[in-house]
Amino acid sequence: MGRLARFWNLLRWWSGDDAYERYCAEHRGHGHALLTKREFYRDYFNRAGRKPRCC
Amino acid sequence: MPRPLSLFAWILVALTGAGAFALLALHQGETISAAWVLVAAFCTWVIGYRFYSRIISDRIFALDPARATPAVRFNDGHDFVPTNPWVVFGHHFAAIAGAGPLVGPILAAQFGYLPGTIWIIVGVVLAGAVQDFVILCGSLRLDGKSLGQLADEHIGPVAGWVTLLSILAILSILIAVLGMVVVNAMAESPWSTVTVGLTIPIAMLMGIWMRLIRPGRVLEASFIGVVLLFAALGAGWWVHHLPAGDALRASLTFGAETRLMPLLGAIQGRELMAWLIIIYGFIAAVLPVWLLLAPRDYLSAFVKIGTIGLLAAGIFVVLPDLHMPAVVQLATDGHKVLADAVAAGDGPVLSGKLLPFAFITIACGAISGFHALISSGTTPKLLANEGHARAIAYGGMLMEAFVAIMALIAACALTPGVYFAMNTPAAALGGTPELAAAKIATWGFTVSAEELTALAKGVGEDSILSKTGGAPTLAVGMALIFDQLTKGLGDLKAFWYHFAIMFEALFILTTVDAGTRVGRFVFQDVAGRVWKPLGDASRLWATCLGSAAVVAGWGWFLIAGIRDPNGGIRMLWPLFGIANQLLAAVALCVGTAMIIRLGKVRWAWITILPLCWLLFITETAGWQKLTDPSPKVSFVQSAAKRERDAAALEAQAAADPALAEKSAKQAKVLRQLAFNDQLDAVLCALFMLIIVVVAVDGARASFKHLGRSG
Repeated sequence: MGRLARFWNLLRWWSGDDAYERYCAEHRGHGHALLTKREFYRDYFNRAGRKPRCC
Repeated sequence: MPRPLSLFAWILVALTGAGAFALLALHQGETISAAWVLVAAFCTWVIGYRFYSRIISDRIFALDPARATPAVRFNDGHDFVPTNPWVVFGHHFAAIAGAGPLVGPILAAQFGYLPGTIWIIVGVVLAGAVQDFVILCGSLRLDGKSLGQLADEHIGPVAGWVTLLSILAILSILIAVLGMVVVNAMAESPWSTVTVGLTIPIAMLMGIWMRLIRPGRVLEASFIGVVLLFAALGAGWWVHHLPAGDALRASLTFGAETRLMPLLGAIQGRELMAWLIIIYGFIAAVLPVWLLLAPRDYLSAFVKIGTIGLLAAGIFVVLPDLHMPAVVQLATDGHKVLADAVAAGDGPVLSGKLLPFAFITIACGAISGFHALISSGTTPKLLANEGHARAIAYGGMLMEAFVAIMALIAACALTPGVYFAMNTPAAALGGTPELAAAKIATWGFTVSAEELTALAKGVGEDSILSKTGGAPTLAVGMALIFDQLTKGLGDLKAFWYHFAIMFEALFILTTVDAGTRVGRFVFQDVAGRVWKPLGDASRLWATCLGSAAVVAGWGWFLIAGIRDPNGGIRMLWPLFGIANQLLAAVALCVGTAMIIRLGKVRWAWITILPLCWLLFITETAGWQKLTDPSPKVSFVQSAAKRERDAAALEAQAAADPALAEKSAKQAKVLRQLAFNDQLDAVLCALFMLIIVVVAVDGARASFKHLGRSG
């Protein structure tokens, strides 16, 4: 069960499913306003579009 | 493990691998089990990973888990993010593995199973994985900088500019060739067209879901997307089973028929499909990333990893026999006509001789310059620990080589008759199963017209003849392997064939989207230096102009390839190979200069060795493409022949008014094809020159450094 949960967490990390949660955990308490989930993912997907994909 | 025991185990692995290679090379029978290819590969790769990659990690870069990586030092939560190594591996592998390791080995199977097998297994250890790993280490040491910046830093500004130019050139040829692979896979197949076409609205729905309906629910959207993909396969099946004269079915069957289209005029179905892909590429590059590119990338990554895993399982369970001769040009017993043609560089699938073209055709899978962009792009910005670099870069490339080996097995597991029937252009094969079977019989392989028709029916197609480009061959190979896995569920060949086509088209279109967009960034970067507003990505007109320029670049080659009666793949794939290896040569020059600057000159052979090999094969291939006396091999001779034929037709038109219109039309087409050849020749010469410039510049920079330090 522990391994399955770890795999699920890795899958969420890899896919970016938990990117907003990690962003909030990282930036909370730093005194600046946090992006909303919608704003965060707009930026997140825009960055994804700059990555090359190989042949 | 105690040292003597460990030594014994490694000697055993080495001997087993050597034995498997010997068996593959010396085998005399008609077929040989794919198990021997897998044994040779795994034994070589574990030794390469355990010992060879250690030279790079320990002796050259002295990778230290305690040293802070750029991701740790510049952690901004966006570009630089320390990430779990498994996650980085997943990103790195998903980025480097595309259609190349699948298509290249299929095409190179025309030379036999042995050349491709040796090049993939040995080449990846000594060249491809070395390049990926060295560039990743170099980028880690230089704050996660890109290949162009590394070239600028370690060699000089000329190399920096040349790298930028190489990237644009490779993108143009790459996207054109991949576009052609998709067109060839979907031509005359309404099932494939519907399935692949529906992936566009599916990706857009996922985009809207992840961005507007349930922001950030990536896995949820991906699950919905995968379910809808299977529904799309069902929709394709439904269209395929409509009556032959049905209007919907006919409109979705893009073949040799002529259609009258607004703006384009009278146009052949296949060419219309190419135009649709060009329009798609432009729209995909201009649309917001979240709407199409990002969700398609997710869909493609999940399907890619799942299908590759399934194929690996299939090959291990089924362990098919390889039916292709070991080296076709040596298989003179009954195959003399084909052996002579292949030896002369006039093989039915690819033009060019075994040496160097087998090593050009298989680029990704053995070595791919494009990987250097990934190794100096996202990966160094995510790596939290230097100690993980070896597994991610070297190990990731070994994994890609495994994908290439599986593709080679899938192609060689087909009977040679079926393989050549699928991969020989229609102009050389004849348009019917009877003519194809007769032609293939002259090459010494037996396949009956009934067999070809039955196989086409079995995979749910009207015909499998001349489905060039590699993708349909891989799809048939995969369908036969998967069908054996799911034997208990009935005959699922048609389902698996179209699933495989969808799988290939999905990530080819992702490369088209992402490549066009990245090409636009490079174009705007360069154009912005000439006139600033052109480089402003926030201006819609500048974005559209940049995208149009990039799309025009690859679109031109795509249309030229589609119109080529000898099959565009046959001529353009080698050019793509040269372009890709050119970038690899640039990366290895940068790597060598970097190793020398680190003061590790005695280990510089580790990059110089593959660099010399690449210089030899790319320059030889380029030279043959320019100077070979055969028009089947040389762009220059092909252009000259077409010019002569056009002149003869024009003379005929002048002499006989009854034939005037038809001959003039044919002459015009030939002149256009001759111009395409001339342009390919110019590009080829440019690539050759670029390689020499970078090699000389790299040597100059390295000797200058050695002189200073020593």
